[in-house]
Amino acid sequence: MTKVKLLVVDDEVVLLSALMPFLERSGFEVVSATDGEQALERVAKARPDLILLDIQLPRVNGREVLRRLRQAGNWTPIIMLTQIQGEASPALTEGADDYVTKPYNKDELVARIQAVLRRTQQGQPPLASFPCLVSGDLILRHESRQVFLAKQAVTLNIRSIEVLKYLMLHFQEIISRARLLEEVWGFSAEVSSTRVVDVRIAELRKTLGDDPDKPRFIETVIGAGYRFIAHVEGQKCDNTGVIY
Amino acid sequence: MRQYWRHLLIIALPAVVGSGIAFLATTNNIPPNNLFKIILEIDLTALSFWAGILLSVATGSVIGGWLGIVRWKNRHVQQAHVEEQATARQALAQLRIEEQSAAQQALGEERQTQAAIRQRFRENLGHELGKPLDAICVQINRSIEAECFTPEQRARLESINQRVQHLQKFIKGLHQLTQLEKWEMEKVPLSLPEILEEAQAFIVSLPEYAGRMVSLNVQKVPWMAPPALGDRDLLGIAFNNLLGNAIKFSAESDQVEVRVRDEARTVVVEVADTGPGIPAEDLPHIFEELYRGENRHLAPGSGLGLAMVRRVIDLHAGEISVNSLAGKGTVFIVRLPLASAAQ
Repeated sequence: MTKVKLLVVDDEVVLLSALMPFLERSGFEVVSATDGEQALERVAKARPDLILLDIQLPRVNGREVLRRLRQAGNWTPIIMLTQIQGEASPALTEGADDYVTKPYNKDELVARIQAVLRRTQQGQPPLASFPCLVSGDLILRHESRQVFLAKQAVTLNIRSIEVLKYLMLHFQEIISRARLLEEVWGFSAEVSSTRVVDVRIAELRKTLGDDPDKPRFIETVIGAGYRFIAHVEGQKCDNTGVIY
Repeated sequence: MRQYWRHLLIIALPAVVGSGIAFLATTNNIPPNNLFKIILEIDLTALSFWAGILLSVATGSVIGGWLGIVRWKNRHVQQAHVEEQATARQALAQLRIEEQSAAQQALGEERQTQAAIRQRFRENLGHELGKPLDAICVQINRSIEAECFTPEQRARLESINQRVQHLQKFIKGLHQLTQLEKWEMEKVPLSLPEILEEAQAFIVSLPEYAGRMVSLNVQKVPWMAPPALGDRDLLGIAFNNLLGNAIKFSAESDQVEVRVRDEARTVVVEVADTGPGIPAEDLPHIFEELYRGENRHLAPGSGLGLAMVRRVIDLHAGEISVNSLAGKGTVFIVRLPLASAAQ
């Protein structure tokens, strides 16, 4: 079996030198780059299966690398390495598949790489770049924050919709309560109780008619968090939830 | 009133004069005019009497009518004048409102600009500090894993590591504060006792505060403390912080009490402790970002917590204040709008 090839782009050599051996030990083949231009060259030459891309890079910054690749029709899965959360959301709409906020846990990073590899389809744009996320009769038009279930508009409040969006974008991946709290609310589990997450999940389940014992959408993984179990695909749809 | 007497006099005078002529005609027995008597067979005395009455009534009516018309015209002019004045006043008031709202808008814009500058500053600071810190952290961890150091050297590395982690937490705190600048509020009627119970449960669930007690005192008589209007998750963070501070800065033997009551169309939450109190010179600054007062040696902290609390309360159009006496304790007082006030 051929190894999955990763391109790691970071200008901090110390980080690279620590991360690369770890990723190799985790079973990946790893190539690296320390600036944006070098990253674009490596993509063309080495044809990696996935790119770990830091945002702040010398010469050509990470977001520009992302834009150039996507404009050229290159849909290699990309995980952005962000220093702050505010950078993550624009990166997703510009075509990144996921993001990891620094400082990251190395094991968590490997889990995220594997989840993205499982989720992405060869040569397909990432989910977040589609206006609508569709799972069976559930449709989330994420930019306008509209939710439709069985062709009916469903009323949910902002935070619940954001939780649903995060879960759908990371479908079939176990997301811990602390991660949801950090990614959706922007708060660490030191300042806020993760109970706020449970409250929103309960609200989502109630509105979507999802039975926690026999879930169609959101499963509780005991001791680990939540998982959106159904398959999700990206589509185009209008503001009444009709797919075209 | 005086002007009406004048008009009455003008109407009454011709009537009195006419009546006087008629009276004189009858009483002085003026000789009959034969010609008139023959032709009209009318008593001239009676004629002069009636002529007097008619004259007085006609003159009165003409003068009265004329005065009426003049008054009506005046009133019309006055009314127009009053309307004109009202319009002018209104225009002036409008102008003032516009000036005020322009000033308010300018102030609002100024605040937004300030907020944007602060946000950018925090983001840049996060970047500039974050990257080297990550590198330092990686190096330290590799060194610790390398197992080629004496226990003493190792202890030093661990100590450096702790401080680096503290800085990383601080950067996270900066991000959280930034997050609040662009927070989308979800205001709903909330039971504050419920949120405070959750905050209490959250704080005592943290390993460093395990076993600590907080007493919750909710107004029930003569009526229950009414619901407030707010964002549940944000208020949760604010009260977690206030309760956490009360416990953090007091000893196990101290008391921490949370009180909820209503007062003047607001719900009031007081978080009180019998801790060491805050020095008077620190009190005006404790809600400022990064302010660490005299008591900093008593407990670890980022200097961002109370700034975050104040931001949350500001987002609710509420108020926060603090009373403290050295050696006695501290009470934080939060006032939030009632849910019913929004209807």
